[in-house]
Amino acid sequence: MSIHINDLTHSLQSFRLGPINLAIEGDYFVLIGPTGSGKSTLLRLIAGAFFPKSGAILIDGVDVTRAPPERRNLSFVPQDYALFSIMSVRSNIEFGLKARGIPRREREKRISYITDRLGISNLLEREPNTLSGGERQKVALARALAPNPRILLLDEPLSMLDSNSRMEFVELLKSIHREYDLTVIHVTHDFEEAYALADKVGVIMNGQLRYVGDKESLFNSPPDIDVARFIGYRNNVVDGRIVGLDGVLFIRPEWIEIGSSGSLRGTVTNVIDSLTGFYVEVAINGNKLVSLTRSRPDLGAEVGVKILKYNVLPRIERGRS
Amino acid sequence: MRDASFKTLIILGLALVAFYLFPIFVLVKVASLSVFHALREPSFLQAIEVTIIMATAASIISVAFGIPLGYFMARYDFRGKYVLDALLDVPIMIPHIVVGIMIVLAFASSYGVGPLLSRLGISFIDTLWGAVAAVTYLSSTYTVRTIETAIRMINPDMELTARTLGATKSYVLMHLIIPYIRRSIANGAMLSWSRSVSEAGALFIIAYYVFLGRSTIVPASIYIYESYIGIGLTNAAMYSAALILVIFVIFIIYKAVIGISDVHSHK
Repeated sequence: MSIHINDLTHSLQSFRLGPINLAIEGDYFVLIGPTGSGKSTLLRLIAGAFFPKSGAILIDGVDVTRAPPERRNLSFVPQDYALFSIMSVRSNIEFGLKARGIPRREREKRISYITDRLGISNLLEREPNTLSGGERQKVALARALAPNPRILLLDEPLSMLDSNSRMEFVELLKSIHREYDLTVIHVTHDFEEAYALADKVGVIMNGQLRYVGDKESLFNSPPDIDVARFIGYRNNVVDGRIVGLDGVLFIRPEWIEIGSSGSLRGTVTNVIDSLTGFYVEVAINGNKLVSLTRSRPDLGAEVGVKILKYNVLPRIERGRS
Repeated sequence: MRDASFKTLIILGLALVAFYLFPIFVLVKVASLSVFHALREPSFLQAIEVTIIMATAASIISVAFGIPLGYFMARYDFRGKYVLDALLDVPIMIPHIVVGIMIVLAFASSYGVGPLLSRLGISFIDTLWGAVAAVTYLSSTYTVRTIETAIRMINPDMELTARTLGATKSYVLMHLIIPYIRRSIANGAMLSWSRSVSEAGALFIIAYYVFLGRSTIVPASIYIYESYIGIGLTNAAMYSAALILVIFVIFIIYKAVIGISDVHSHK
Protein backbone atom coordinates (compact mmCIF):
# COMPACT_ATOMS: atom_id res chain seq x y z
CA MET A 1 0.00 0.00 0.00
CA SER A 2 1.52 3.31 -1.04
CA ILE A 3 0.83 6.86 0.05
CA HIS A 4 1.86 9.75 -2.17
CA ILE A 5 1.50 13.32 -1.01
CA ASN A 6 1.98 15.93 -3.68
CA ASP A 7 2.43 19.66 -3.04
CA LEU A 8 0.11 19.50 -0.04
CA THR A 9 -0.56 22.79 1.74
CA HIS A 10 -2.87 23.70 4.57
CA SER A 11 -3.32 26.57 6.99
CA LEU A 12 -4.81 26.69 10.46
CA GLN A 13 -5.09 30.27 11.72
CA SER A 14 -1.54 31.63 11.48
CA PHE A 15 0.12 28.21 11.01
CA ARG A 16 1.09 27.19 7.47
CA LEU A 17 1.80 23.60 6.51
CA GLY A 18 3.69 22.67 3.38
CA PRO A 19 4.07 22.38 0.55
CA ILE A 20 4.65 18.74 1.50
CA ASN A 21 5.87 16.12 -0.95
CA LEU A 22 6.22 12.60 0.40
CA ALA A 23 6.11 9.01 -0.85
CA ILE A 24 5.68 6.07 1.52
CA GLU A 25 5.69 2.54 0.09
CA GLY A 26 4.68 -0.04 2.68
CA ASP A 27 7.20 1.26 5.18
CA TYR A 28 7.04 1.88 8.88
CA PHE A 29 7.40 5.63 8.49
CA VAL A 30 8.10 7.71 11.58
CA LEU A 31 7.45 11.42 11.38
CA ILE A 32 9.26 13.39 14.04
CA GLY A 33 9.13 17.05 14.82
CA PRO A 34 8.90 19.45 17.74
CA THR A 35 5.59 20.49 19.27
CA GLY A 36 3.62 22.69 16.87
CA SER A 37 5.66 21.64 13.85
CA GLY A 38 2.62 20.35 11.94
CA LYS A 39 3.17 16.59 12.27
CA SER A 40 -0.24 15.91 13.80
CA THR A 41 -1.90 18.23 11.27
CA LEU A 42 -0.29 16.27 8.43
CA LEU A 43 -1.48 13.00 10.00
CA ARG A 44 -5.04 14.32 10.28
CA LEU A 45 -4.97 15.52 6.68
CA ILE A 46 -4.03 11.98 5.63
CA ALA A 47 -6.80 10.61 7.88
CA GLY A 48 -9.32 12.97 6.27
CA ALA A 49 -10.19 15.05 9.34
CA PHE A 50 -10.14 18.07 7.06
CA PHE A 51 -9.29 18.83 3.49
CA PRO A 52 -6.06 20.56 2.42
CA LYS A 53 -5.93 24.01 0.90
CA SER A 54 -4.15 22.60 -2.14
CA GLY A 55 -2.26 19.54 -3.29
CA ALA A 56 -3.19 15.87 -3.43
CA ILE A 57 -3.12 12.72 -1.30
CA LEU A 58 -3.02 9.46 -3.23
CA ILE A 59 -3.46 6.06 -1.63
CA ASP A 60 -2.45 3.23 -3.96
CA GLY A 61 -2.69 5.67 -6.85
CA VAL A 62 -6.26 6.72 -6.00
CA ASP A 63 -6.79 10.40 -5.26
CA VAL A 64 -8.44 10.54 -1.81
CA THR A 65 -7.75 14.22 -1.17
CA ARG A 66 -11.47 14.99 -0.82
CA ALA A 67 -12.64 11.53 0.22
CA PRO A 68 -14.23 11.11 3.66
CA PRO A 69 -12.18 9.21 6.29
CA GLU A 70 -14.32 6.08 6.00
CA ARG A 71 -13.37 5.70 2.33
CA ARG A 72 -9.60 5.78 2.80
CA ASN A 73 -9.11 2.23 4.14
CA LEU A 74 -6.99 3.42 7.02
CA SER A 75 -7.27 3.45 10.80
CA PHE A 76 -6.27 6.30 13.07
CA VAL A 77 -5.16 5.94 16.69
CA PRO A 78 -4.96 9.31 18.48
CA GLN A 79 -2.59 10.11 21.32
CA ASP A 80 -5.22 9.57 24.04
CA TYR A 81 -6.57 6.47 22.20
CA ALA A 82 -10.12 7.94 22.13
CA LEU A 83 -11.67 4.74 23.42
CA PHE A 84 -15.46 4.96 23.50
CA SER A 85 -16.01 5.11 27.25
CA ILE A 86 -19.75 4.43 26.98
CA MET A 87 -19.10 0.97 25.51
CA SER A 88 -17.39 -2.22 26.63
CA VAL A 89 -14.03 -3.22 25.14
CA ARG A 90 -15.87 -5.73 22.92
CA SER A 91 -18.20 -3.02 21.56
CA ASN A 92 -15.22 -0.73 20.98
CA ILE A 93 -13.49 -3.33 18.82
CA GLU A 94 -16.76 -4.26 17.13
CA PHE A 95 -17.69 -0.64 16.32
CA GLY A 96 -15.93 -0.40 12.96
CA LEU A 97 -17.06 -3.87 11.93
CA LYS A 98 -20.70 -3.03 12.65
CA ALA A 99 -20.38 0.29 10.84
CA ARG A 100 -19.13 -1.60 7.79
CA GLY A 101 -22.06 -4.00 7.94
CA ILE A 102 -19.92 -7.08 8.59
CA PRO A 103 -22.10 -10.07 9.64
CA ARG A 104 -22.11 -11.08 13.29
CA ARG A 105 -20.29 -14.41 12.84
CA GLU A 106 -17.43 -12.72 10.97
CA ARG A 107 -17.32 -9.97 13.61
CA GLU A 108 -16.98 -12.53 16.38
CA LYS A 109 -14.21 -14.30 14.47
CA ARG A 110 -12.21 -11.13 13.94
CA ILE A 111 -12.64 -9.95 17.53
CA SER A 112 -11.53 -13.34 18.81
CA TYR A 113 -8.46 -13.38 16.54
CA ILE A 114 -7.23 -9.87 17.25
CA THR A 115 -7.83 -10.03 21.01
CA ASP A 116 -6.01 -13.37 21.20
CA ARG A 117 -3.16 -11.92 19.16
CA LEU A 118 -2.81 -8.91 21.46
CA GLY A 119 -3.49 -10.87 24.64
CA ILE A 120 -6.57 -8.91 25.70
CA SER A 121 -9.29 -11.60 25.44
CA ASN A 122 -9.83 -11.31 29.18
CA LEU A 123 -10.72 -7.61 28.86
CA LEU A 124 -13.64 -7.93 26.44
CA GLU A 125 -16.42 -7.23 28.92
CA ARG A 126 -14.54 -4.50 30.80
CA GLU A 127 -15.20 -0.78 30.48
CA PRO A 128 -12.35 1.32 29.04
CA ASN A 129 -12.20 3.51 32.16
CA THR A 130 -11.16 0.51 34.25
CA LEU A 131 -8.13 -0.37 32.08
CA SER A 132 -4.46 0.46 32.61
CA GLY A 133 -2.55 2.61 30.09
CA GLY A 134 -1.04 -0.42 28.38
CA GLU A 135 -4.38 -2.23 28.19
CA ARG A 136 -6.05 0.85 26.74
CA GLN A 137 -3.33 1.08 24.11
CA LYS A 138 -3.84 -2.57 23.14
CA VAL A 139 -7.61 -2.12 22.92
CA ALA A 140 -7.13 0.96 20.71
CA LEU A 141 -4.79 -1.06 18.50
CA ALA A 142 -7.22 -3.99 18.34
CA ARG A 143 -10.06 -1.64 17.41
CA ALA A 144 -7.92 -0.05 14.69
CA LEU A 145 -6.82 -3.42 13.25
CA ALA A 146 -10.18 -5.22 13.37
CA PRO A 147 -11.51 -3.73 10.09
CA ASN A 148 -8.29 -4.88 8.32
CA PRO A 149 -7.02 -1.46 7.24
CA ARG A 150 -4.07 -1.21 4.89
CA ILE A 151 -2.69 1.91 6.57
CA LEU A 152 -2.28 2.62 10.27
CA LEU A 153 -1.91 6.21 11.47
CA LEU A 154 -0.49 6.50 14.98
CA ASP A 155 -0.34 9.85 16.76
CA GLU A 156 2.26 9.68 19.56
CA PRO A 157 1.05 6.19 20.48
CA LEU A 158 3.63 5.53 23.20
CA SER A 159 3.60 8.91 24.91
CA MET A 160 1.15 7.88 27.63
CA LEU A 161 2.93 4.65 28.59
CA ASP A 162 5.55 3.94 31.23
CA SER A 163 9.03 2.95 30.02
CA ASN A 164 8.50 -0.84 30.38
CA SER A 165 5.24 -0.74 28.46
CA ARG A 166 6.92 1.42 25.80
CA MET A 167 9.53 -1.25 25.11
CA GLU A 168 6.83 -3.92 24.94
CA PHE A 169 4.87 -1.81 22.49
CA VAL A 170 7.84 -1.10 20.28
CA GLU A 171 8.15 -4.87 19.79
CA LEU A 172 4.40 -5.25 19.32
CA LEU A 173 4.15 -2.46 16.74
CA LYS A 174 7.06 -3.90 14.78
CA SER A 175 5.50 -7.35 14.65
CA ILE A 176 2.03 -5.98 13.82
CA HIS A 177 3.54 -4.01 10.93
CA ARG A 178 5.11 -7.18 9.49
CA GLU A 179 2.23 -9.53 10.21
CA TYR A 180 -0.52 -7.31 8.80
CA ASP A 181 1.61 -6.02 5.94
CA LEU A 182 0.65 -2.51 6.91
CA THR A 183 1.91 0.86 5.91
CA VAL A 184 2.37 2.72 9.18
CA ILE A 185 2.76 6.44 9.75
CA HIS A 186 3.82 7.01 13.32
CA VAL A 187 4.09 10.54 14.67
CA THR A 188 6.33 11.24 17.62
CA HIS A 189 8.81 13.71 19.06
CA ASP A 190 10.88 10.94 20.64
CA PHE A 191 14.08 10.13 18.71
CA GLU A 192 14.69 6.82 20.46
CA GLU A 193 11.18 5.69 19.57
CA ALA A 194 11.76 6.81 15.99
CA TYR A 195 15.12 5.07 15.81
CA ALA A 196 13.75 1.82 17.26
CA LEU A 197 10.78 1.56 14.90
CA ALA A 198 11.40 3.37 11.64
CA ASP A 199 12.19 1.93 8.24
CA LYS A 200 12.14 5.49 7.06
CA VAL A 201 12.11 8.79 8.96
CA GLY A 202 10.73 12.21 8.17
CA VAL A 203 11.56 15.37 10.09
CA ILE A 204 9.02 18.19 10.03
CA MET A 205 9.76 21.65 11.40
CA ASN A 206 7.69 24.81 11.08
CA GLY A 207 5.32 23.07 8.69
CA GLN A 208 8.10 22.00 6.30
CA LEU A 209 9.47 18.49 5.73
CA ARG A 210 13.17 19.02 6.33
CA TYR A 211 14.32 15.46 5.93
CA VAL A 212 12.97 12.20 4.51
CA GLY A 213 15.21 9.18 4.38
CA ASP A 214 16.83 6.40 6.37
CA LYS A 215 17.35 6.81 10.06
CA GLU A 216 21.09 6.10 10.04
CA SER A 217 21.76 9.06 7.77
CA LEU A 218 19.54 11.31 9.85
CA PHE A 219 21.15 10.50 13.18
CA ASN A 220 24.73 10.44 11.84
CA SER A 221 24.62 13.13 9.22
CA PRO A 222 21.65 15.45 9.64
CA PRO A 223 20.82 17.63 6.64
CA ASP A 224 21.09 21.01 8.32
CA ILE A 225 21.75 22.82 11.58
CA ASP A 226 18.09 23.04 12.69
CA VAL A 227 17.54 19.33 12.25
CA ALA A 228 20.87 18.56 13.90
CA ARG A 229 19.86 20.63 16.91
CA PHE A 230 16.42 19.04 17.02
CA ILE A 231 17.44 15.39 16.93
CA GLY A 232 19.15 15.50 20.31
CA TYR A 233 20.24 18.24 22.65
CA ARG A 234 23.30 16.23 23.58
CA ASN A 235 24.50 16.19 19.99
CA ASN A 236 27.17 18.77 19.29
CA VAL A 237 26.55 21.42 16.67
CA VAL A 238 29.69 23.55 16.86
CA ASP A 239 31.80 26.01 14.92
CA GLY A 240 34.29 24.10 12.72
CA ARG A 241 37.11 26.44 13.70
CA ILE A 242 37.43 24.39 16.89
CA VAL A 243 39.29 21.86 14.73
CA GLY A 244 40.55 24.40 12.20
CA LEU A 245 37.79 23.87 9.63
CA ASP A 246 35.44 26.28 7.92
CA GLY A 247 31.77 25.36 8.53
CA VAL A 248 29.53 23.94 11.21
CA LEU A 249 30.27 20.49 12.61
CA PHE A 250 27.85 17.82 13.78
CA ILE A 251 29.45 15.52 16.34
CA ARG A 252 27.63 12.80 18.27
CA PRO A 253 28.68 12.47 21.95
CA GLU A 254 30.10 8.98 21.35
CA TRP A 255 32.42 10.40 18.67
CA ILE A 256 34.30 12.39 21.31
CA GLU A 257 36.90 10.80 23.60
CA ILE A 258 38.03 12.36 26.85
CA GLY A 259 41.30 11.48 28.53
CA SER A 260 44.71 12.77 29.37
CA SER A 261 45.74 13.00 25.73
CA GLY A 262 44.04 14.76 22.82
CA SER A 263 44.67 17.63 20.47
CA LEU A 264 42.21 19.87 22.34
CA ARG A 265 42.24 20.83 26.01
CA GLY A 266 39.14 21.76 27.97
CA THR A 267 37.51 21.98 31.40
CA VAL A 268 34.74 19.64 32.61
CA THR A 269 31.75 21.86 33.44
CA ASN A 270 28.98 19.29 33.95
CA VAL A 271 28.50 15.53 34.23
CA ILE A 272 25.13 13.81 33.76
CA ASP A 273 24.66 10.14 34.69
CA SER A 274 22.88 7.86 32.26
CA LEU A 275 22.35 4.12 31.89
CA THR A 276 24.82 4.01 28.99
CA GLY A 277 27.59 6.05 30.67
CA PHE A 278 28.26 9.67 31.56
CA TYR A 279 27.46 12.69 29.45
CA VAL A 280 30.37 15.01 30.11
CA GLU A 281 30.20 18.68 29.14
CA VAL A 282 33.59 20.17 28.35
CA ALA A 283 34.28 23.87 27.72
CA ILE A 284 36.90 24.56 25.05
CA ASN A 285 37.67 28.18 24.16
CA GLY A 286 34.07 29.33 24.61
CA ASN A 287 32.60 26.25 22.87
CA LYS A 288 30.89 23.45 24.72
CA LEU A 289 31.19 19.83 23.65
CA VAL A 290 29.29 16.89 25.13
CA SER A 291 31.03 13.52 25.24
CA LEU A 292 29.67 10.11 26.23
CA THR A 293 32.22 8.40 28.46
CA ARG A 294 32.46 5.24 30.54
CA SER A 295 34.27 6.83 33.50
CA ARG A 296 33.18 9.83 35.53
CA PRO A 297 35.64 12.75 35.45
CA ASP A 298 35.76 15.32 38.25
CA LEU A 299 33.99 18.63 37.78
CA GLY A 300 36.51 21.35 36.89
CA ALA A 301 39.12 18.81 35.77
CA GLU A 302 41.40 19.76 32.87
CA VAL A 303 41.01 17.04 30.20
CA GLY A 304 42.25 16.23 26.74
CA VAL A 305 39.58 15.97 24.04
CA LYS A 306 39.86 13.83 20.91
CA ILE A 307 37.23 14.15 18.16
CA LEU A 308 37.06 10.76 16.42
CA LYS A 309 34.51 11.67 13.77
CA TYR A 310 32.44 14.62 12.58
CA ASN A 311 30.18 15.68 9.74
CA VAL A 312 30.20 19.15 8.23
CA LEU A 313 26.72 20.68 8.04
CA PRO A 314 25.54 23.02 5.32
CA ARG A 315 25.68 26.67 6.39
CA ILE A 316 22.03 27.39 5.54
CA GLU A 317 20.01 27.92 8.72
CA ARG A 318 16.30 28.22 8.05
CA GLY A 319 15.36 29.51 11.46
CA ARG A 320 14.93 27.62 14.68
CA SER A 321 11.61 26.07 15.54
CA MET B 1 -8.85 35.89 50.19
CA ARG B 2 -9.45 36.60 53.86
CA ASP B 3 -11.93 34.34 55.70
CA ALA B 4 -14.26 37.26 56.50
CA SER B 5 -14.54 38.15 52.82
CA PHE B 6 -15.17 34.53 51.94
CA LYS B 7 -17.92 34.28 54.57
CA THR B 8 -19.54 37.39 53.08
CA LEU B 9 -19.55 35.72 49.66
CA ILE B 10 -21.17 32.59 51.07
CA ILE B 11 -23.82 34.71 52.81
CA LEU B 12 -24.57 36.50 49.54
CA GLY B 13 -25.01 33.14 47.80
CA LEU B 14 -27.25 31.81 50.54
CA ALA B 15 -29.30 35.01 50.42
CA LEU B 16 -30.13 34.22 46.80
CA VAL B 17 -31.16 30.69 47.75
CA ALA B 18 -33.38 32.16 50.46
CA PHE B 19 -34.84 34.56 47.90
CA TYR B 20 -35.76 31.53 45.73
CA LEU B 21 -37.26 29.51 48.57
CA PHE B 22 -39.14 32.14 50.58
CA PRO B 23 -41.97 32.77 48.03
CA ILE B 24 -42.39 28.99 47.59
CA PHE B 25 -42.60 28.56 51.34
CA VAL B 26 -45.27 31.29 51.63
CA LEU B 27 -47.19 29.86 48.67
CA VAL B 28 -47.23 26.38 50.21
CA LYS B 29 -48.27 27.83 53.58
CA VAL B 30 -51.14 29.83 52.06
CA ALA B 31 -52.33 27.02 49.80
CA SER B 32 -51.83 24.29 52.39
CA LEU B 33 -54.20 21.34 51.97
CA SER B 34 -56.37 23.21 49.45
CA VAL B 35 -53.85 21.94 46.88
CA PHE B 36 -55.69 18.63 46.91
CA HIS B 37 -58.97 20.43 46.34
CA ALA B 38 -57.42 22.04 43.23
CA LEU B 39 -56.22 18.66 42.00
CA ARG B 40 -59.81 17.36 42.13
CA GLU B 41 -61.07 20.27 40.02
CA PRO B 42 -61.79 18.84 36.50
CA SER B 43 -61.26 22.14 34.65
CA PHE B 44 -57.86 22.60 36.34
CA LEU B 45 -56.85 19.01 35.56
CA GLN B 46 -57.76 19.68 31.92
CA ALA B 47 -55.63 22.83 32.03
CA ILE B 48 -52.69 20.81 33.36
CA GLU B 49 -53.30 18.12 30.74
CA VAL B 50 -53.22 20.57 27.84
CA THR B 51 -50.15 22.28 29.33
CA ILE B 52 -48.27 18.98 29.63
CA ILE B 53 -49.22 17.98 26.06
CA MET B 54 -48.09 21.36 24.76
CA ALA B 55 -44.80 21.34 26.71
CA THR B 56 -44.01 17.73 25.82
CA ALA B 57 -44.63 18.37 22.13
CA ALA B 58 -42.36 21.44 22.28
CA SER B 59 -39.73 19.40 24.06
CA ILE B 60 -39.79 16.59 21.48
CA ILE B 61 -39.60 19.10 18.61
CA SER B 62 -36.71 20.90 20.33
CA VAL B 63 -34.72 17.67 20.63
CA ALA B 64 -35.49 16.43 17.11
CA PHE B 65 -34.36 19.68 15.52
CA GLY B 66 -31.91 20.66 18.24
CA ILE B 67 -29.57 17.68 17.84
CA PRO B 68 -28.66 18.42 14.21
CA LEU B 69 -28.48 22.17 14.86
CA GLY B 70 -26.41 21.71 18.03
CA TYR B 71 -24.05 19.37 16.19
CA PHE B 72 -23.70 21.82 13.32
CA MET B 73 -22.94 24.72 15.67
CA ALA B 74 -20.45 22.66 17.69
CA ARG B 75 -18.54 21.14 14.80
CA TYR B 76 -18.56 23.53 11.86
CA ASP B 77 -16.85 26.84 11.38
CA PHE B 78 -17.87 29.09 8.55
CA ARG B 79 -17.85 32.72 7.59
CA GLY B 80 -20.46 34.66 9.53
CA LYS B 81 -21.06 31.87 12.06
CA TYR B 82 -21.31 34.46 14.81
CA VAL B 83 -24.42 35.90 13.12
CA LEU B 84 -26.18 32.52 13.25
CA ASP B 85 -24.89 32.06 16.78
CA ALA B 86 -26.50 35.37 17.83
CA LEU B 87 -29.72 34.55 15.98
CA LEU B 88 -30.13 31.37 18.02
CA ASP B 89 -30.40 33.47 21.16
CA VAL B 90 -32.94 35.90 19.70
CA PRO B 91 -36.02 33.86 20.81
CA ILE B 92 -35.04 34.17 24.48
CA MET B 93 -34.45 37.91 24.18
CA ILE B 94 -37.77 38.91 22.60
CA PRO B 95 -40.60 39.73 25.02
CA HIS B 96 -43.03 36.84 25.11
CA ILE B 97 -46.06 38.90 24.18
CA VAL B 98 -44.16 39.99 21.06
CA VAL B 99 -43.41 36.35 20.24
CA GLY B 100 -47.15 35.70 20.41
CA ILE B 101 -47.78 38.58 17.99
CA MET B 102 -45.05 37.29 15.66
CA ILE B 103 -46.47 33.75 15.63
CA VAL B 104 -49.92 35.13 14.79
CA LEU B 105 -48.47 37.27 11.99
CA ALA B 106 -46.32 34.48 10.59
CA PHE B 107 -48.71 31.53 10.81
CA ALA B 108 -52.21 32.91 11.21
CA SER B 109 -52.47 36.02 9.09
CA SER B 110 -52.29 36.96 5.45
CA TYR B 111 -48.91 38.62 6.17
CA GLY B 112 -47.37 35.16 6.59
CA VAL B 113 -48.36 31.63 5.66
CA GLY B 114 -51.79 31.79 7.36
CA PRO B 115 -53.81 31.37 4.14
CA LEU B 116 -51.66 28.44 3.02
CA LEU B 117 -52.05 26.67 6.37
CA SER B 118 -55.75 27.44 6.33
CA ARG B 119 -56.11 25.64 2.98
CA LEU B 120 -54.41 22.64 4.63
CA GLY B 121 -56.94 22.80 7.44
CA ILE B 122 -54.43 24.02 10.01
CA SER B 123 -55.24 26.93 12.27
CA PHE B 124 -52.82 28.46 14.78
CA ILE B 125 -55.31 30.59 16.67
CA ASP B 126 -56.51 28.98 19.90
CA THR B 127 -55.25 25.54 18.94
CA LEU B 128 -52.48 23.23 20.09
CA TRP B 129 -50.67 24.10 16.84
CA GLY B 130 -50.38 27.73 17.89
CA ALA B 131 -49.62 26.95 21.53
CA VAL B 132 -46.89 24.46 20.62
CA ALA B 133 -45.41 26.83 18.02
CA ALA B 134 -45.23 29.66 20.56
CA VAL B 135 -43.63 27.65 23.36
CA THR B 136 -41.25 25.86 20.97
CA TYR B 137 -40.13 29.26 19.66
CA LEU B 138 -39.45 30.41 23.20
CA SER B 139 -37.90 27.28 24.67
CA SER B 140 -35.97 25.35 22.00
CA THR B 141 -32.88 27.58 22.29
CA TYR B 142 -32.21 26.04 25.71
CA THR B 143 -32.20 22.56 24.21
CA VAL B 144 -29.98 23.57 21.30
CA ARG B 145 -27.44 25.26 23.57
CA THR B 146 -27.35 22.36 26.02
CA ILE B 147 -26.75 19.88 23.20
CA GLU B 148 -24.19 22.14 21.49
CA THR B 149 -22.21 22.49 24.72
CA ALA B 150 -22.26 18.72 25.31
CA ILE B 151 -20.98 18.01 21.78
CA ARG B 152 -18.20 20.56 22.18
CA MET B 153 -17.00 18.55 25.18
CA ILE B 154 -16.44 15.48 22.99
CA ASN B 155 -12.92 15.24 21.61
CA PRO B 156 -13.13 15.58 17.79
CA ASP B 157 -10.41 12.90 17.58
CA MET B 158 -12.96 10.38 18.82
CA GLU B 159 -15.18 11.15 15.85
CA LEU B 160 -12.24 11.00 13.47
CA THR B 161 -11.23 7.64 14.92
CA ALA B 162 -14.75 6.31 14.46
CA ARG B 163 -14.87 7.62 10.89
CA THR B 164 -11.60 5.93 9.94
CA LEU B 165 -13.00 2.68 11.36
CA GLY B 166 -15.60 2.86 8.60
CA ALA B 167 -18.47 4.84 10.13
CA THR B 168 -20.21 7.55 8.15
CA LYS B 169 -20.98 10.93 9.70
CA SER B 170 -24.59 9.99 10.37
CA TYR B 171 -23.58 6.60 11.84
CA VAL B 172 -21.20 8.38 14.20
CA LEU B 173 -23.92 10.83 15.20
CA MET B 174 -26.50 8.12 15.84
CA HIS B 175 -24.30 5.46 17.42
CA LEU B 176 -21.65 7.48 19.20
CA ILE B 177 -22.48 11.15 19.72
CA ILE B 178 -26.11 10.75 20.75
CA PRO B 179 -25.38 7.93 23.22
CA TYR B 180 -22.55 10.04 24.64
CA ILE B 181 -24.71 13.12 25.19
CA ARG B 182 -27.96 11.35 26.09
CA ARG B 183 -27.99 12.90 29.54
CA SER B 184 -27.48 16.39 28.11
CA ILE B 185 -30.26 15.73 25.60
CA ALA B 186 -32.54 14.76 28.47
CA ASN B 187 -31.51 17.87 30.42
CA GLY B 188 -32.08 20.07 27.37
CA ALA B 189 -35.49 18.50 26.83
CA MET B 190 -36.37 19.04 30.48
CA LEU B 191 -35.27 22.69 30.31
CA SER B 192 -37.42 23.22 27.25
CA TRP B 193 -40.32 21.41 28.92
CA SER B 194 -40.09 23.47 32.12
CA ARG B 195 -39.86 26.69 30.16
CA SER B 196 -42.92 25.74 28.11
CA VAL B 197 -45.02 24.79 31.14
CA SER B 198 -44.45 28.22 32.66
CA GLU B 199 -45.26 30.18 29.51
CA ALA B 200 -48.12 32.68 29.64
CA GLY B 201 -47.21 35.83 27.67
CA ALA B 202 -47.19 34.37 24.17
CA LEU B 203 -50.23 32.20 24.95
CA PHE B 204 -52.25 35.29 25.87
CA ILE B 205 -51.98 36.29 22.22
CA ILE B 206 -52.15 33.05 20.28
CA ALA B 207 -53.81 30.44 22.47
CA TYR B 208 -55.66 31.98 25.39
CA TYR B 209 -58.06 29.08 24.98
CA VAL B 210 -57.13 25.82 23.33
CA PHE B 211 -59.84 23.98 21.43
CA LEU B 212 -59.19 20.32 22.12
CA GLY B 213 -61.86 17.96 20.81
CA ARG B 214 -65.13 19.50 21.95
CA SER B 215 -63.60 21.23 24.95
CA THR B 216 -62.26 24.71 25.35
CA ILE B 217 -59.37 24.58 27.76
CA VAL B 218 -57.06 27.29 29.04
CA PRO B 219 -53.39 26.44 29.64
CA ALA B 220 -52.48 26.17 33.34
CA SER B 221 -50.65 29.50 33.62
CA ILE B 222 -53.60 31.34 32.10
CA TYR B 223 -55.97 29.38 34.35
CA ILE B 224 -54.06 30.69 37.37
CA TYR B 225 -54.05 34.23 35.96
CA GLU B 226 -57.84 34.07 35.51
CA SER B 227 -58.23 32.75 39.02
CA TYR B 228 -56.16 35.66 40.36
CA ILE B 229 -58.05 38.28 38.37
CA GLY B 230 -61.50 36.75 38.82
CA ILE B 231 -61.48 35.39 42.39
CA GLY B 232 -58.40 36.51 44.25
CA LEU B 233 -54.93 35.86 45.57
CA THR B 234 -55.60 32.84 47.82
CA ASN B 235 -57.54 31.06 45.09
CA ALA B 236 -54.65 31.66 42.65
CA ALA B 237 -52.23 30.43 45.34
CA MET B 238 -54.13 27.14 45.59
CA TYR B 239 -53.81 26.45 41.85
CA SER B 240 -50.23 27.73 41.74
CA ALA B 241 -49.18 25.34 44.52
CA ALA B 242 -51.00 22.51 42.75
CA LEU B 243 -49.16 23.25 39.50
CA ILE B 244 -45.81 23.37 41.30
CA LEU B 245 -46.62 20.03 42.96
CA VAL B 246 -47.38 18.43 39.58
CA ILE B 247 -44.17 19.84 38.05
CA PHE B 248 -42.20 18.68 41.08
CA VAL B 249 -43.55 15.12 40.80
CA ILE B 250 -42.75 15.02 37.07
CA PHE B 251 -39.26 16.34 37.80
CA ILE B 252 -38.70 13.61 40.41
CA ILE B 253 -39.88 10.96 37.92
CA TYR B 254 -37.50 12.41 35.29
CA LYS B 255 -34.57 12.29 37.72
CA ALA B 256 -35.42 8.71 38.68
CA VAL B 257 -35.65 7.61 35.03
CA ILE B 258 -32.34 9.31 34.17
CA GLY B 259 -30.71 7.76 37.24
CA ILE B 260 -31.96 4.27 36.35
CA SER B 261 -30.86 4.60 32.71
CA ASP B 262 -27.40 5.74 33.88
CA VAL B 263 -27.08 2.69 36.13
CA HIS B 264 -28.12 0.39 33.26
CA SER B 265 -25.77 2.01 30.77
CA HIS B 266 -22.82 1.38 33.07
CA LYS B 267 -23.60 -2.29 33.62
